[in-house]
Amino acid sequence: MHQRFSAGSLSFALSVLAVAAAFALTGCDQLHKLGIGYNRGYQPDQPIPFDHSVHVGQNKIQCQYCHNQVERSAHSNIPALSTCMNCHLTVKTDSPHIQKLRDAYDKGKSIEWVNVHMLPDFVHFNHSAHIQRGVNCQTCHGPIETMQKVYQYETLSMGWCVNCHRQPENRAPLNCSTCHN
Amino acid sequence: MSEMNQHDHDHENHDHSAAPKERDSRYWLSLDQWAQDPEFQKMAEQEFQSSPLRESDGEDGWARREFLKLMGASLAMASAGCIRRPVQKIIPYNKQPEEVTFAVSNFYTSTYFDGSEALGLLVRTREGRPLKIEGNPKHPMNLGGTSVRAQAHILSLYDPERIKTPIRNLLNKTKTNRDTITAKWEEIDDAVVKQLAKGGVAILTGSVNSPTGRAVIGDFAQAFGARHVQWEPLAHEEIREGQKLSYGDDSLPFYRFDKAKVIVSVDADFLGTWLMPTTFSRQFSKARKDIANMPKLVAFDSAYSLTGANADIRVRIKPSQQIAVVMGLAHEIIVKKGQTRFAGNASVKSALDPFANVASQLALEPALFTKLADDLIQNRGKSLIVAGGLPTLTAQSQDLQVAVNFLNSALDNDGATVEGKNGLPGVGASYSALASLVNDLNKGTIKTVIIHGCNPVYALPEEFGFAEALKKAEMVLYTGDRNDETGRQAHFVIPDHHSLESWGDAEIGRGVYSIHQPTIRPMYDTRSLGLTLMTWAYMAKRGSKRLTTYETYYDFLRSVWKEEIHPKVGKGQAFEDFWENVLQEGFAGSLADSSARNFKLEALSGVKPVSSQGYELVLYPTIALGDGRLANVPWLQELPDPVTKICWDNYVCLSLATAEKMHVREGHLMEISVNGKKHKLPAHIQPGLHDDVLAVPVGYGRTAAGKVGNGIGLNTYQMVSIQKGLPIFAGAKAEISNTKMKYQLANPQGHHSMEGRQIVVEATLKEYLKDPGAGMHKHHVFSIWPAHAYNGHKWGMAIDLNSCTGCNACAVACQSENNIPVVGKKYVIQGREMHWLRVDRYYVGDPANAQTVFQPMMCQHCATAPCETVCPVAATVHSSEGLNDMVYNRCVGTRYCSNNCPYKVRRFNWFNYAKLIEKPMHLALNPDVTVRVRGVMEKCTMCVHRIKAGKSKAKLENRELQDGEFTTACAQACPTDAITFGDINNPESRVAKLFAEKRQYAVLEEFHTAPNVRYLSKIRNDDQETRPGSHGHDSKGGHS
Amino acid sequence: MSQMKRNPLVLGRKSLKDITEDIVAPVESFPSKGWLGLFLSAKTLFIFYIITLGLVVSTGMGLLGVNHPNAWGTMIITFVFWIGIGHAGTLISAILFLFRQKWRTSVARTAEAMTVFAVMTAGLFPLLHTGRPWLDFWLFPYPNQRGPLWVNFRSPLLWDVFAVSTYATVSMVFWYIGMVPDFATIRDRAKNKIRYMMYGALSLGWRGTAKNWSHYEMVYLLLAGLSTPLVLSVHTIVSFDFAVSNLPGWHTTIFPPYFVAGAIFSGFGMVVTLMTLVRIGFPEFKNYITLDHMEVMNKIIMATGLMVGYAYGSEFFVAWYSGNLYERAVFINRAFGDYGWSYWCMISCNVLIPQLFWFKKIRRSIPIMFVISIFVNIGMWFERFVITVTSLHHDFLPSSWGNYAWSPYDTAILAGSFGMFLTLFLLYLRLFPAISIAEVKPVINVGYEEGKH
Repeated sequence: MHQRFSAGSLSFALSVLAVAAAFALTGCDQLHKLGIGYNRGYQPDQPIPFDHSVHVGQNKIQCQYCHNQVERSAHSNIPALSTCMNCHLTVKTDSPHIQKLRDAYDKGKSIEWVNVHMLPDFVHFNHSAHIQRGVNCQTCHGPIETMQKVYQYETLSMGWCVNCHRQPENRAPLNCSTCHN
Repeated sequence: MSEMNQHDHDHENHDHSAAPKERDSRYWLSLDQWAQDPEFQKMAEQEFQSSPLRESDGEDGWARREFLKLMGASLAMASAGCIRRPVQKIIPYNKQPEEVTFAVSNFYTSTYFDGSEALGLLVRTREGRPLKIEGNPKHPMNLGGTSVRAQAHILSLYDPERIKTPIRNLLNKTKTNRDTITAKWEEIDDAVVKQLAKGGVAILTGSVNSPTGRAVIGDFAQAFGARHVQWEPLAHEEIREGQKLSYGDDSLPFYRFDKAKVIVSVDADFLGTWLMPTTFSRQFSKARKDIANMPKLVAFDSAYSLTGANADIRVRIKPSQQIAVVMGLAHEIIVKKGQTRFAGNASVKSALDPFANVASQLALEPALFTKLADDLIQNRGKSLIVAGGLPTLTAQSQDLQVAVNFLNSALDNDGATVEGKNGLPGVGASYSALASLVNDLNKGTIKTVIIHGCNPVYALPEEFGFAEALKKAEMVLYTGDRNDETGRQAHFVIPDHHSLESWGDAEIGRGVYSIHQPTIRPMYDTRSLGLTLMTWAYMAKRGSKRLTTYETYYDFLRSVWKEEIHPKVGKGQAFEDFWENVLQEGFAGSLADSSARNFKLEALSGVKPVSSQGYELVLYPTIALGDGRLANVPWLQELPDPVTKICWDNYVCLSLATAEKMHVREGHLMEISVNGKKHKLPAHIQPGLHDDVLAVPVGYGRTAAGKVGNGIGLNTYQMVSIQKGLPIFAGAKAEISNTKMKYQLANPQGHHSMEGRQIVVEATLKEYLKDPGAGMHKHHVFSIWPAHAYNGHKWGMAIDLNSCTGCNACAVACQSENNIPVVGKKYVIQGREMHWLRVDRYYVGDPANAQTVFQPMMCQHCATAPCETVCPVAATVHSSEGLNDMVYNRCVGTRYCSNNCPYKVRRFNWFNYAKLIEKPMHLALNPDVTVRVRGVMEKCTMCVHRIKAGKSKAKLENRELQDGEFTTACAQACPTDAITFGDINNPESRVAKLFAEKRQYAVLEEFHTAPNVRYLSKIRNDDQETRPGSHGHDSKGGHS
Repeated sequence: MSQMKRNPLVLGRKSLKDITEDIVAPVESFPSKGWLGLFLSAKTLFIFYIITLGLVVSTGMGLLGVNHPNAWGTMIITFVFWIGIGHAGTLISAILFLFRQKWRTSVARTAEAMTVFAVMTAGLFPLLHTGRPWLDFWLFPYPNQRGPLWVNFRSPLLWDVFAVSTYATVSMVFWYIGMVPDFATIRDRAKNKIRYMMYGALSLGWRGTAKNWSHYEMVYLLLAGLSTPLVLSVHTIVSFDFAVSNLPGWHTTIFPPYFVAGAIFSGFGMVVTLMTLVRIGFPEFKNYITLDHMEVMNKIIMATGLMVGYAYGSEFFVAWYSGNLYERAVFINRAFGDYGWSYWCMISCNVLIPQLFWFKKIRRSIPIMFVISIFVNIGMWFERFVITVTSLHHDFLPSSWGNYAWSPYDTAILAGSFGMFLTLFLLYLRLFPAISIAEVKPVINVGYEEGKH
């Protein structure tokens, strides 16, 4: 009688072990593929539903027209309201969103956009360096020209960065201090 | 930007199902999609094909349920990772200011005036906030060098305790009440204008070296019949008085240490705290770089000053011997050796005769004295004798100055190494002027006092009677950045701009003008003194046109430059171009040339020998705090004194013999009684001090400086006594007794001898001339491993110990550049200080008369670094450019690297220091450098962020990197060019050339750490054949 | 060849039944006042310990006395101390088993329990002494999303992770397997359900069949063989943490043997301490853990004590003989510097005092050996203190020299670790058979049967 009991306890112990093992083996890279913990696919609502597919996709506006500092700065800037108003003083002025923009602009206020692509503070990514080497915006930001609402396309995980830097043809530095200091 | 944004976590801000459908379905986008994904289900089942659970599934399937439960849990956890994303806001400009590029620094030329010296600066700003002070390399005086306080004063801009609005002190009769309320500008202005109408106005300021400042105050004074009194604790009055007595003109001379071959300093700490230390350090080190004929510095030192520490020959004296030294030399030269034009002059002889055998009184071998005299004779016109500063402010301070001037004139140095009238035109501070002001206050003829830029209530001894006299004034107005000791005696405290917020200028030498640009919009509701005076004049409708018409101080400044300065130094340029140029370069004009002046011999007759016995008090300013005005800047409080190495306190320095006599241990609480008053101070046993000297730093013991500075140390200005309106800082008789009470001093360096190890290599000039590599033992090191290959750059640093004066500017620059936390006295005592760059100080030779060597020590970036091999998580690794990279976010904090580092330069975050940064101080953080969390190791990165910035700049401009186009913070700040940074792989670079020098060596090279930081040996020009035996390196030592 | 009369290993002519009765008694009877008192105080200390560690983890390592240059302190010292303690157990149960030392049977179980608990106590320290303990899992090489980023296999600390975890696992399994038959015995004697289920689960369905026994013997033999090299390897690798670094006073080749000897030394010290306590706590055990046992262990203490003494001596000799300036300075400072007192404390406790065991009287006197064993423990803690601190606080550049800033938290952690160890050990005494019934039974006749060999 004690035998059946102990068999039960044994099988239970084993089952728990097995589940743990299963995760140890498959877990990591499964989760990675799915981009869990890396906010891939993160797509917040913006105060003004700015539509890249219209501006870039249809109207073929250059990225650098708005993100004009991306070539000389580590950060790619969100354009100042004045930049938007260059066109929107005349274009689509009746749209409520544009009026909201116009309103803020006249009041000397600004718009609080929600940051989509966020790296931790200990990672120092340099846009200008990558643009200089001829990396496309799309390589990291995805088919931005088709996005009605911007979402995070890649995991932006360290592994993802390093994979590119490791390609010999990229001749990219692999020092830790390249990104961390 | 992200560094500055605030993280606010909100959870329901976004939902995942809202993802666009056109995306590749391989990617999981929402929880339900994943859970129902059939492939995934299958995979999950197949996981357990072969497991014993298969059977039990048949029976009751508990295992399956169990499994799914676990899956569910893990899904929840996983998705949690997705939801819990900090939401950051990005707030773009409304209209883009075209000069601002995110993450790209702008530099503005500016000036820092510390009460006597004015330094030309480049202020580095990011997105409109100043981050770092750099020296302006083009500036004629400091040539890019900066001082400790110039580096640190940026933190006072972000000091949380600055007053943010005008305030009114609710003073009771005795003015002891501490209550304050915020006031309105109108309220104050009206009250003041009414009051001014009554007349009897006095404006008390610190030294005003700003032409515009002088103009505005002058105009105002004229308009209201006010008196302008300048006063500073470190007034340099004795020099001006001496000049007047000797040459009939009381303006400060400018000294040329770069032209002098023999320099004799009698307690003039020209490398540390006297007049223009940064400028003088530059000159001094420049001259010494040509080692073969380097100048000789002989210091007669009563406190252990930085100048004494850098002297080739240092003679310990007591203040009462100062005059004897100078006159003795004169006697040696003129009477004994019959040299110079005064030889045979009867009156001179009679004046000098009392000083016939000084050498014996000084207890230093006559040979040295005569040798020095010979040197001076040989280098006539190329020598320089200086005396001054607090340690010379004895009752006979002016006699000393006369004696010095006489000797300089006799040796034809006047007009050559001493340029009359050229030094610091602005510095007009005077105790006697203040004394007469006190007088009038007591008489009641002064009704209104406007105080600006000085803190007399703190820095004057009670017996001077200022505080008492001030209470008699009807209205006291104080303009400053905080409600400090003096502010609390004022009816209104008018918040002034910080110097980084305001326009200004400075006359840094006769005919040299330096501009002072604002680098940030005023953070609070403040108003510059200039504008304040202009406003009052305007409201009272009195005063000159420019005083009443201009709306901003900037306009006033421009007009002064247009009408007064441009004509003098414009060189025919149109004003607008001239102005543009000034803003660009930061200065205009050049020093007027000066010629020898005629010395009035009659002044000499007053100079008499001084006799004294017993202990003599010597008060001196420290490198870190100076007169104490920046006492609330934590960087300065935690900066170890270059010589004593103690921080967070002041103390009384005793010689070894004295300490032994009184059974004093380091930190024993001593009771010092000077002119009747008793003071308690901890003892510091200082090698190389005269046995009769009690040396005490001033600048501590603030009571209303702020959280940091209050109650640190003792206000030793109270030890000053006043004779005939003049302060006695030195030579006062003092009694001292040991209370035997223990007191702990924070001293980050506990041990002072090199223990015969090859750490600082030193050689005498004679040795050097025979063999440039003298004094060092080269080890034969080899490795069985192949060395790293550096195909691109290889960054290296050369530190010339012969140039380094140990001024610590590098340490503060590093702290400012790299967001290095301050830990406080308690933790310094526990050995937790965080400085990435420390300046080690070792004593050399006979302890009683110790000499000093300095060595800046930071991460040596070893090619074969011991720290790299032992880190279990590879958080510190070698870079392809020769750097030892420290990856904070990979570090788990085993601290093994620190144990294995032979130089012990790694610093560990014992607590979460970043959390303790009080707003708005966080604005001073450098966004290019990660702020470290608790539990990670940190260390010098060789400013890798600057390297990266420089490289990418060159890349963007499609060009090769130029040597010296960027450098590290420490090298930039160094006033003596002791630190050289660059690419060793580039044979043309300065650093590569220095690496090739014979004097170059690596610390602990026998361990084959192969550092990329190399040192160049120190050379002492002291006529000795070899170095004093008791230190240095015995050839057999150090092998491993 | 002359015939040697063996002393009996079990006194008082026990029958097989008596043995079971005697040994199971503590497990089945209600705890005595003495045990309760001890347990409660130990438990309190343990809770106190947990709180202290909690504070340290939540506020920062700064609470302890570690600083620059002494980046390692109490936690590492005490870690090495406990790991050392954990050596005697496996030595007795594995090595002596392989050498067929019959006398080991009655002390093996408890010695091994001590090992397991000591290793558990020690294991906490390297995990918690890091700056960011919540990231300790980075010390294990596992597939990750950072590139992947691997651990640094050159770091002795990493070897440590593997060595200690292996040792902990193996010794735990070894201990557990050894107890299976006895668990079964208790299960079968159980009167109530819970007992029955508990020991039933523990005994893994043991039925005492011949098959069971043969499997059991084989497993036990294999595990003994497996753990024998570990006895030597673990402390060797722990010593690498020091020996592989380049710090004068750490960087010595003698460390591995020296550490192992020291470990066995301290291990036996602790065994003697505990055994004397067990004998007092459970008088009937005096028949199983006899004076002969204690004497043998005291002999080992004396021998290993001499070994560490030799190590201390040779360190100094090498320091002088090598002519290495820094090495010499460190050792002179060790004996006569700020921490000289700790060095002399170590010498007297580890080398001088154990020499008393030359005298048979002292070897066989319970109170004296108890006191001496305590001294040995103290001495061995100070040995680790001396090695860690005196080497760190005076290294290469005099400018960075500084003393360890001992804080109350250091004391709390040191004391608390004993709380944890004792709590576990006391629980073990009540819940597990403290002497191996299955192994004692075969040797009851040793020393009684005449003339036969």
